[in-house]
Amino acid sequence: MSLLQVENLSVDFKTDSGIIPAVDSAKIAIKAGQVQGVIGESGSGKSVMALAIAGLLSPAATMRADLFNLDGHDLTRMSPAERQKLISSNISIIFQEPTSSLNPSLTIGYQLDETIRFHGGGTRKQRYDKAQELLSQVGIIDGKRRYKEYPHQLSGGLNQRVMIAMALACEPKLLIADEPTTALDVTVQSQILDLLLKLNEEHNMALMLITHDFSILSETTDKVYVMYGGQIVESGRTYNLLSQPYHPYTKALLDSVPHYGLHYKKGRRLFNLKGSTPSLDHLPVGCYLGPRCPYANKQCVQPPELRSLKGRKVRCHFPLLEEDN
Amino acid sequence: MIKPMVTSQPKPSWVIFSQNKGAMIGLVVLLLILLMALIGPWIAPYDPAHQFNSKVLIPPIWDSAGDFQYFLGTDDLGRDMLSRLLYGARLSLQLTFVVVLIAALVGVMIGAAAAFINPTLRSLLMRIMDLLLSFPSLLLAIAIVAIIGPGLPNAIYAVIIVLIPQFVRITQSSISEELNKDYVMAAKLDGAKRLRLLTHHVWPNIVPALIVQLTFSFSTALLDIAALGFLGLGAQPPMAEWGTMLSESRAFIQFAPWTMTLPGLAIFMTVLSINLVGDGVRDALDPRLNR
Amino acid sequence: MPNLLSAKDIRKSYKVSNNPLKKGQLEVLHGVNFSLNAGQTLAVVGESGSGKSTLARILVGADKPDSGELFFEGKDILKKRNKFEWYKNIRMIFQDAAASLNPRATIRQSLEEPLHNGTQYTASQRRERIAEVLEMVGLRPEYAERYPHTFSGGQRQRIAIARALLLRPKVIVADEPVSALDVSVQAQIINLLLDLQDQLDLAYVFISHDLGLVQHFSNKVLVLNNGTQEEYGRVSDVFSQPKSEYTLELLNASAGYKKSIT
Repeated sequence: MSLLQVENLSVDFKTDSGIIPAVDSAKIAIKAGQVQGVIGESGSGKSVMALAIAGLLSPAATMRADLFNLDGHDLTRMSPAERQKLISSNISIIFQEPTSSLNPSLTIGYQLDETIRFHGGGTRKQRYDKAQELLSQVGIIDGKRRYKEYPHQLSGGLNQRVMIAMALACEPKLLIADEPTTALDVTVQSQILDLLLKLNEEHNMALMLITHDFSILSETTDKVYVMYGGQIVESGRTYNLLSQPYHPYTKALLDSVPHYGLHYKKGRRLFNLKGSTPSLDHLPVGCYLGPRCPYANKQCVQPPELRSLKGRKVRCHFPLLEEDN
Repeated sequence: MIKPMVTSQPKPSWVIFSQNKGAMIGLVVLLLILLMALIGPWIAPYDPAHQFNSKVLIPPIWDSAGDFQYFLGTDDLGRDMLSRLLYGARLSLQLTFVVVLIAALVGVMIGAAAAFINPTLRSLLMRIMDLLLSFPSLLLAIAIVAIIGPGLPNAIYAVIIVLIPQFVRITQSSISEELNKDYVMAAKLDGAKRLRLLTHHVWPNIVPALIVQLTFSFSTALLDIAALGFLGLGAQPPMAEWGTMLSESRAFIQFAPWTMTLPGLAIFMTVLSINLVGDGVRDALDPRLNR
Repeated sequence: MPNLLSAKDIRKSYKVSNNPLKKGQLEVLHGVNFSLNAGQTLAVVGESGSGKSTLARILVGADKPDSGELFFEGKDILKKRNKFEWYKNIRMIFQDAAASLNPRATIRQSLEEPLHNGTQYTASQRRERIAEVLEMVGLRPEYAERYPHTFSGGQRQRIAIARALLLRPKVIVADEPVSALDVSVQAQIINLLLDLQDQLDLAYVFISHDLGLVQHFSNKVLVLNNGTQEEYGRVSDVFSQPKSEYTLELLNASAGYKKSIT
């Protein structure tokens, strides 16, 4: 039984230049305590999908889904207020820029206290104790001092820990982390990932890790969704998907970045896709990767369906099987 | 080869401007007002100072008591309102243009110099400007007139002095802001000397801010000159000036409202149209909006 | 035969506050040394605040070091009166290509600037040279009439590279040239830089925090930590046998994320 099950989730943005499809019929299922990854570049729709699931879309967006089950409740049959309440008590989200997610003119303590008050509250003393407990859970040792400090007095890594502490205040069953380490230095990055995985294990809290970087997914996630142009183009078990990508885009993402530790001849040219990622208001006809894809042919002007292939889902007319790799 | 994301040619600035409805309406109104100011003396039916002693406070023609000889009525001394408004347009606009132009020129030069002088001197200069800016503009103008004496020329000097600090401030801060940007550093490394940096690279990027300031200043100047006239510190009766007209008629607002609303409306329309045109010009000059 | 570019004990500190009453200096570079030959790439590696961008700015002349020597073809360019000779030979590619282009100037106007200041070219020669470098970086010459905002991030970085190439420099300092780009576009730019290096025998100083890219792209590497030169040497040596604690930590952190809890 899945904690979260979403089918045919679509999000459209209404703008002056027409309707922009930011997410196109996405299908997501997460079991309790599972860690999943969503990978894509800017404009792939990964962040919008996260916001849609967390119920944080802007009013300019319209969201549709054939199925939206959370913790056994059918959200499509609820009133917006009920839905919002259920989502906010079960799903938390943290973002890329911890320092800009926090209010610079309020103390860490004040902001943490406000969140705790919103999710249950208690007396002043109880809330303070709860705050200290949350800070220690996210590995902040001098919580009493940090409680009184302002966001600019903390490093980026510490601010991200504070954001995680606030996310934990509602004891969520699912934590969505949207590029949680992108703005941080590499040495801090692994500490934050360690923390997220520790919380995942201790609280049986499912984790959805959104990133553009494969290197942080391989050891953390069980399952990966690859997004391009608002669509899921490939999904499957992380290990299988990384060791043998079926979709040309997945292959490009893997091969266009030299990974440290693998041995390259200096000056070897990297595999790359021509052109740049399409903007969502100028998507190409047929397969969205078509114009950039080295394997594309005439058939690719027909939009490919997401189909099952050897335990994976692939949206491609010509998936890369053994002989091509 | 790679195609650019936007394939259409950028539109010329005037096309952008003409697609902005508000700006176009503002432009039409402003042109009408300017035209009236220009040909006012020839189309005005009477001498603005001539008093028709038997025709005091005649309402405009849309009132049942109106008289077709006096299209917009007459004031308490029997002077023709239309003639006075037309002559007043000429005077008010002329004054405003001259005042704003001089203030902008002086202000921009001081501001540009301030951006390049040593930091201590700059702080000192800018604090003096802050001091001047901290007074409400009208109050400062009144104070200056009080010192140098009432009358139209002195009122003009006062308004110029009041407007200068705003131009200094906006020029200095925009230039300093631009100087810290990467593209200026890049141009410096391309070998551009200080003067060339200012004229070729920084200047086009601060013009929009200056245009907005110009339109603000234009309305401030028009209102301040009118207000000084209203307070009896600027244009002296019987000169036809919008502010003076407002002031002279305030005793009759109860039973002859047109004597006050008409010059007030003239001031309002002029200020509004200038602001609309200013916004339009600013947007049209921004290449990032040229879709 | 002297090295193309070498630095000796470059130091730099900044005033902590603009307030003349407050004293205090923050040293951001405590003595940097390296040398670089034509056709080679030196990577400068470090985390944010390590001083790597300051070093880049010093190398291109955008910032003055407090002390130290910088030799280009055997001569100390810091002591030279005519800075433009230096600017012409050592060019910069900024991290944020969009910010390095004047938003109100067409690409042609931006590319004219170095030619106007650094050559005696006629208008038609300038036009020709601009077309030439645009083609070198894979863009069409007619794009010169457009404004920066009409291009994608990758294209803007190509334009920035074209600008750097205009005056036929010998060294290009690239400050995180691909970190703001999508990964699928990063590879295009990296490949382009490698192609240009082969064609023009360019030396690169490549500022980066991405050790994968560094390993792929560079001959030498200089590791900076809080302004201190932790390590300097051939990439293969430094990466296989790091001498400093910090380098080891950095290498471990970059080897993809490894679970450290069970």
